[in-house]
Amino acid sequence: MKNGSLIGIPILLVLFFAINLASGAMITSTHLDLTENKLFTLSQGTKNILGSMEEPVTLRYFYSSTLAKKEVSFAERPAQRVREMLAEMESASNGKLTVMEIDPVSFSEAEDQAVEFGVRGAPVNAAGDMIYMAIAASNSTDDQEVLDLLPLAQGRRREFLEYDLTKLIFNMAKPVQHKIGVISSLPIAGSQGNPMDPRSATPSWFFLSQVQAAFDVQIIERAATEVPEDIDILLLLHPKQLDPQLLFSIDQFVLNGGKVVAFLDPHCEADQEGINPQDQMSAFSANRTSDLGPLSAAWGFKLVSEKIAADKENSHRVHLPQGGDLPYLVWLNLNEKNFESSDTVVSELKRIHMASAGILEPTPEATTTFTPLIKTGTESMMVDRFAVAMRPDPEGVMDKFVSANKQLVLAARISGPIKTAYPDGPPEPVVAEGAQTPPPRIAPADGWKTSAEAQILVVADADMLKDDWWVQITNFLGQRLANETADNSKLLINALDNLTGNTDLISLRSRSGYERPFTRVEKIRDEADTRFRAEEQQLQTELEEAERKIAELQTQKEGAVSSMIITPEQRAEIERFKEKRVETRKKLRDVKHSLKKDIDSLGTWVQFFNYLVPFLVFLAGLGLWIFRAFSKSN
Amino acid sequence: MRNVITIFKREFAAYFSTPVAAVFIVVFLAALLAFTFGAGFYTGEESDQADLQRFFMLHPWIFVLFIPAISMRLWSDERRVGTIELLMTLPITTFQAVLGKFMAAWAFIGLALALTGSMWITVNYLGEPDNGVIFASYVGSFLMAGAYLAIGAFASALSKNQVIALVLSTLMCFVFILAGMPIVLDPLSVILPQTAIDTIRSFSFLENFEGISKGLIDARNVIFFGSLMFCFLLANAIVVDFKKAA
Repeated sequence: MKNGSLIGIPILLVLFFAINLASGAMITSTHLDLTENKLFTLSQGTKNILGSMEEPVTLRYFYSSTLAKKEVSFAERPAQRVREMLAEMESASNGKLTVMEIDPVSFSEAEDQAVEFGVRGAPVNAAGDMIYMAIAASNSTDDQEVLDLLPLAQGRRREFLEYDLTKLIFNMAKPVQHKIGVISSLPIAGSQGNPMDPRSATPSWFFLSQVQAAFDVQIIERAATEVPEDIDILLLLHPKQLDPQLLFSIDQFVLNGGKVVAFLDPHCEADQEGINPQDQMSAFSANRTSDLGPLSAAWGFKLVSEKIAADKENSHRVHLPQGGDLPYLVWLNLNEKNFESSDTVVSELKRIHMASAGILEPTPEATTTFTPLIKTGTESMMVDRFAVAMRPDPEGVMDKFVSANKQLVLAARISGPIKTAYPDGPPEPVVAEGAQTPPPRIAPADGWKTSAEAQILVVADADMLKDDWWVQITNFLGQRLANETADNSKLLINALDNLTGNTDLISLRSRSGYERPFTRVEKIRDEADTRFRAEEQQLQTELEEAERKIAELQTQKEGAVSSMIITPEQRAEIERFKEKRVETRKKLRDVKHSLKKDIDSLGTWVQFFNYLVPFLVFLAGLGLWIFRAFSKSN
Repeated sequence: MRNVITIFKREFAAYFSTPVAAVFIVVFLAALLAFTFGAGFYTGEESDQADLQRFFMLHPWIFVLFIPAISMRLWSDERRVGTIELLMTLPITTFQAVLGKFMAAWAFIGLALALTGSMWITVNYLGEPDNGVIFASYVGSFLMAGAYLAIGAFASALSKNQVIALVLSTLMCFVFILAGMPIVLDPLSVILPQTAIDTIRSFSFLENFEGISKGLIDARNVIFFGSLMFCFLLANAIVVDFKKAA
């Protein structure tokens, strides 16, 4: 280009803008995701579900973007993430997914539309403007579901965004919903409590709302004698003294291909039936053990009777009433090391809390395969249930602990051929006095089933699904928000998903990767904590002692008849204790500062190391310059 | 192609013939470190994340200060001193010369960037960062530096005076930064429709670098930086030819 004109320049300018405008318009999802957890790429499970959609689904993304820009700017990042993910999902869905973004400005039609869908906003300012961040999904058969995304603005559930969105789409797209029947002797649906005492009413257990969001749930009465016909999966949560007719029905249910998830407990702390707070002995004698009658033997496993699992490595620390704390070995705090990594029901879990859990073992005559899913560590032992039946006893359990050097199984998958537990047909119905004998059960056309292949998941603790053990519910801007401290509910949902054959959803469970703490600093902090806590406690007691002495001496002085005159000895003593108080306070402050000093010195070293680089360059440059000057002068 | 490499080698070596290069690197690194640590790289809070976000966020701003200082002497110096005639008598095309000089300068800046690797080591020592994200950020930063440089090279071809070149390139780079800043876009959003605002923002360095610095290398961002470098380098060659013919 050896011409002498500048005509090329405006042409280049236009070309530049044209290229970029074109690429902006045409390219939507050509990218390279270099993050370690592939945060920006849809996972295979999602792609499978989106790719196999048959019915069209519409997603309306209600996001108050104008309001957010002004008032809630920290919502912008997550909102953008949602936008990007929706765009990716739309393009992966072969046209079956339609995404629309709508800004529900205050008092606009859009806001009315949002409210109509059931989207709830949160007020952000004194004027009462509401911020909305949610997705309203609908399909061709007028089903509707709303996914609230406001928790994202708080920094919660970020790692579940892909799962939540995919599940929402899945719920809209899939034609059949699996039906879960729940049988439980615990007040999972809430209870009215004592009519005399309004405070004794309890809300429904939180896990239930999560299960209801994903499945069609029917709660079966304890006194029922039959499993309803349309149930796909039975959830048995602390079944206790069920009617033999019901047990028979469950037997047939499994033999007809039904699946079961059972939470059995040798000592269910949440079971308060037959317990009178005034009568301590009632805690001892009440029946708080789950049982399945003859079914567990037929299914090839047993819950070791009267024993609960104690694990020295994986238990919660508790505060003792007399001060100090101690691990309570039967309140288990399990982590990934305890979960079977090859089974999707537990492989993605991070933490499970269990309270006085039982031990599962296969029976010698079992025809099924017993696959452990959750195990204790090797420093474990089986503890007698009676040791803790009356009340929790952390010290007693710790004192009597002797490791059996064997891992105990807390949850297992039972699969394979089983035979009926009732080879002679249905049991005789139990008839109350004076009541009519119910008509005999009629066998189906091909008779009662006697053998089949079974898929059963058993967990040896029922307490773990009680709110206290895995979730904290708080109020944020008028909404109930759940902060999960353990994956207890996730275990249940995984189990249900697994048994419905929903492997794609399971593979999505939790893609975390957002948290990247400064591990080395955390380690220093933890080490320092343990080192200094003992010292701090010591000093604290000394300080309290000194304060007490001073107060004592002061009152003595005032109580004396000749209160105007205090002896030099008394004065000296007061002074001594005052000095001690000052000294102790100072030492206490020093302890607190030691921790900060350790971290600060790490920071200083880090900076030194980094500034070393430019310093070395400086030296190199200096050296080069001197060398040049030197060689030039020669 | 060989010509480009010849020019490249000559230019790159020339950087180290004066202490100016060392001074530049020292000040560049010191500035980056000072602002990163000063802004609270690690504050002791539990919510701190082990990443280099605070570090990379500074790059667009540090670049606008430092890169014009490198680029200003690319062409304006030669014309002032007169060595440009010598360059032009060599059997190479103008574009090859432009490319050679540009690549040398780009490599030099790449060297300076590489020396910030101590931060990468540091953050891995202190915690468990997402190294994929950090790698992507370095790639993005290097691309962005190339874009700044291409603009600066073009500006320096426009004037014999280095200071004018410096001012011009700084201004032009600033325009590309401002295009992505809320402080500029918000008042504009009153008069312009949202799509226009989004389009303007898509031409800013901040916007295009941001995605990459989170670990996502989007084709559109790469095209932006690539097309910018390409167009400005061509424009650079055109100007050099024009001034030569004049």
